[in-house]
Amino acid sequence: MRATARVGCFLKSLFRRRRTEADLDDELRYHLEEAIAENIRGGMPPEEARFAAQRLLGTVSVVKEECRDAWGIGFFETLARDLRYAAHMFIRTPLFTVVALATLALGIGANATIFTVVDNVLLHTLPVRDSSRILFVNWGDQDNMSYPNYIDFRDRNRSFSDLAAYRIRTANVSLHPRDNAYALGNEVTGNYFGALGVEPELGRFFGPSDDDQPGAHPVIVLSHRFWRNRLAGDVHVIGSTVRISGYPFTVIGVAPPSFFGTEVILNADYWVPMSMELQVEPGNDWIHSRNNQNVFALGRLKPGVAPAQAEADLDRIAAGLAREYPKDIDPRQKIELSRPGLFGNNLRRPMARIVAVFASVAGLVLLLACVNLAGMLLARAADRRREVGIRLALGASRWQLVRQLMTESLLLAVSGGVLGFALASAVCRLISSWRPAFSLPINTALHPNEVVLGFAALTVICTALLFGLAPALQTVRTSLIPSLKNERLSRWSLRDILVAAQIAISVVLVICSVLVIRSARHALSLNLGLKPEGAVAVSFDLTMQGYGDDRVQAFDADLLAKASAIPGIDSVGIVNVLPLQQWEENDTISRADRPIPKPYERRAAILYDISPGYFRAAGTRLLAGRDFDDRDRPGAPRVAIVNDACARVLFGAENPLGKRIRLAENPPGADVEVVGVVENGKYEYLGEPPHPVIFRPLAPGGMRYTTLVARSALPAPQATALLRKAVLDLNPELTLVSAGNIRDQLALALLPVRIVAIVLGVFGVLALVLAATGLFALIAYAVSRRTREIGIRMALGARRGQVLSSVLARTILLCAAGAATGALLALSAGKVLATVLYGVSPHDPETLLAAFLIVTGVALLACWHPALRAIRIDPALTLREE
Amino acid sequence: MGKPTDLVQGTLDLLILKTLSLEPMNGWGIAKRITQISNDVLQVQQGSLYPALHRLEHQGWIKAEWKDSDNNRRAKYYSLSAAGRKQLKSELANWQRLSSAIGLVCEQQQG
Repeated sequence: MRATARVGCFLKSLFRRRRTEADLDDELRYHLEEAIAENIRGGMPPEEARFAAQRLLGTVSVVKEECRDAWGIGFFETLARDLRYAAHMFIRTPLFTVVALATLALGIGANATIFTVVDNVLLHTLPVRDSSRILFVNWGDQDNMSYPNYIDFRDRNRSFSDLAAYRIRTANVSLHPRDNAYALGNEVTGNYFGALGVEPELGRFFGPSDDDQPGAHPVIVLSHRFWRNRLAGDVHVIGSTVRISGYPFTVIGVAPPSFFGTEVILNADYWVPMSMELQVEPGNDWIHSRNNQNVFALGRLKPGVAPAQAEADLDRIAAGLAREYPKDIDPRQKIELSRPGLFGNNLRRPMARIVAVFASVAGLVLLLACVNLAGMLLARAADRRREVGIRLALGASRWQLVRQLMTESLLLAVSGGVLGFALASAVCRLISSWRPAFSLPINTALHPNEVVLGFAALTVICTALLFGLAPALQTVRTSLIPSLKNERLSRWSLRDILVAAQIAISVVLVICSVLVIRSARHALSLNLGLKPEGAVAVSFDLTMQGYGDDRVQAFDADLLAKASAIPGIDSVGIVNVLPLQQWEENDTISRADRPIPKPYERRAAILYDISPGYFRAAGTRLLAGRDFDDRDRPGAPRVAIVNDACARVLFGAENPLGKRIRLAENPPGADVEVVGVVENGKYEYLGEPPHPVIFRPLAPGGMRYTTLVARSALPAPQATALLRKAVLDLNPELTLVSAGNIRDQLALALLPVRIVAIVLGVFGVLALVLAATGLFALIAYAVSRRTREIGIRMALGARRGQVLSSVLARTILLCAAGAATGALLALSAGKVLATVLYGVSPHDPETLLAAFLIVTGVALLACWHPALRAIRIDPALTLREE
Repeated sequence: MGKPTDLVQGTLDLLILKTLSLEPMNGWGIAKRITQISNDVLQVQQGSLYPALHRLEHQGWIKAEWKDSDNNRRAKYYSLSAAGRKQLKSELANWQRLSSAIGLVCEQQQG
């Protein structure tokens, strides 16, 4: 017998359940009838004979139940029966069911979404061989280093089997003379593909021999997506020519579909050897400068080498470099290895912080949802005491009842979990399909995978235990206490704890929301150093399109003349890049009348190249001195306009006008004279402290990215169209990188603030709704349990005010206690929250007060209806009941 | 409901198996036979008889088939399987060892 027969028996009983049930009925009936017959033979009257026989056999339904248990299908049978019963209960109370499911779906959905971000972005593993051995090199607080430094690390280290470098750059990629577009490329060292261990889909990858001397190997590898979208998946693509920044490259390979380079958010469209740098970025010869921090480094650890050993190894090299190049390298910078994918620690750290805040808040929302559901189930239990009592009297064991109630909770949690996972998938699809208004090809794809599904399932089980167990135990325990007895006021009940917990959690969440929304308003109204309203901009890159220095100059002059003549455009100006675009050019500055400080003691300034009129067009206020004008043409004395922060850093309280500033280590005579001072703004990110900035007149040489800014009273789309036409009239084949109002182009800088504000704002509202429904249910429950007591009090002459205070006093006390606890919790969590706030203190008293008032207001509203119900109790009716 | 069994835990199975080793029988017959043979000393709680039968059937020690009874009514008749015979043997041996051990202890007390 054993296993097979047992399974056979089990299946038989499952599939032939009806038959087996009927057999059991027959068997027991036969027994009873025989027993009755024998009793009659023994001389009993028929009635008595039947009773005696039944007494001897016991309760037939219990015997049957025990027989069914013996069949071994008890578990599934009971589960199916419990589920049927639970579904029946839920259909009978549709309002409760809808509210509960919505609560759970939102709570679980929020958590699953955030976990998807954690899984897909923070825990992302590269689709390469043995990806855990690939580590990114952070040096001090820098994620990048100069190419000469990288070469020294590569040649001197003993811990990496390969140390590769890459640089991310957008460039104009042209397939045919009229088919241009910007694409995001990686310039990578020859050992890059070997270090990662990826294999090409088509053709070959390039190796160290393709990267041995500058400009010698114009070869390109395309990403699978680029190949499919731009080249229609042409299998004969190998050997064809693609122009980057106008320079012809030969296609040698296509990457596999899963490989997009090593950055999670910025996906590469193509790869070229780093030695082709000057062809891709004409005029930007950074590869020989130890001061141009232009490449990222990552490598594969040698077998058996621990990351800490590798860090020590690289630190040793860094110390050597600092000795060799004391002018260029700060000896205090330490090496730190991190997972690749988010610019080393540079993006990973802030992102992890934001996600941690989101995850805690989403966790709190789910906890609130659980507390809320526990409250609702408790209230439901009050209505079900009679049912539970009857079932206990019929012989159901307490364990069976707890199991039944837990099955109900589990059914609720699983249904809520399914809805929540669907919600998370929908949100992820929405995020994946989002395309930013700015030019960077940002990848926001999020895929809730099986890991996320597992997380959601775990959440469902924990949730069901959390909200189901306490009310189930409470129901079974209190069910036999005669319902005549009302709760005594002095005892702390589960309900009291739930009320206080609900209030505490919602206070925390509402404080978060209010803080974050205030911070977002603050961020959106920060003085950016320019006025986005009424300003539009178009940008393009002339050098990428094969313009030489002289043609660039002429083009700029023609464009300014043409654009300023357009009716409706009030002022125009050119800047190389707008602030807050993440492409800032930096240099060190020092007073020209003092000796050169050590490099790492020099202040850094952001440099912008502008034309006359830019400040007016952008809306930047000139505080002192003059704007650039026709005097400041090439060959004239070198001048600069500084922002207020720069003037203060270098010259303190002295008048900066007429003073001279040394840029980097320029020899005397090449320094610049300050002719004007403008207001401070925001240049790299919104939360930055005032940052020194130097504006220089447009001059020939170097990279020439151009942003034409115009101020106009016309609607933004119309003004943008006029600017676009002015540019295309001068060169119809020019590709615009971006065009539109400035507010949209600042979207990247405002994005984190917006995301945080939206997410936490939604959570705050959710918290309020949950708290309100939960409190309503709990207080309604309390009133319904005390109906009889209140009736008696009123019959004995209690006034309405006294009844009201007896119902509300305790709740208000609990609310106050909960709110105070919540405020304390929020205060102690302030440090975490501070990382996502701009210009608002996490301990802001106004916010605390506002949150307190909002939550207590909502709590009182939730109490209102049950309280009214209490004072409208008719003593006569209540006492006649039961 | 009081304690369901007046028999020593586990002895009901032994009694059922022993009873069935003589001839196939239905539930009612088993209950009666145990009571008769033990001279009314052992009263089988009928409420626990059927769950025990179903358990033994599930374990494969007894087989069941529907047959006509003496009074020409269909009833479920249980009989011992090969595995059941083996089980009975080992349970009997167990029981004898246990009862003789208890007997020994009791005699010594008396002596």
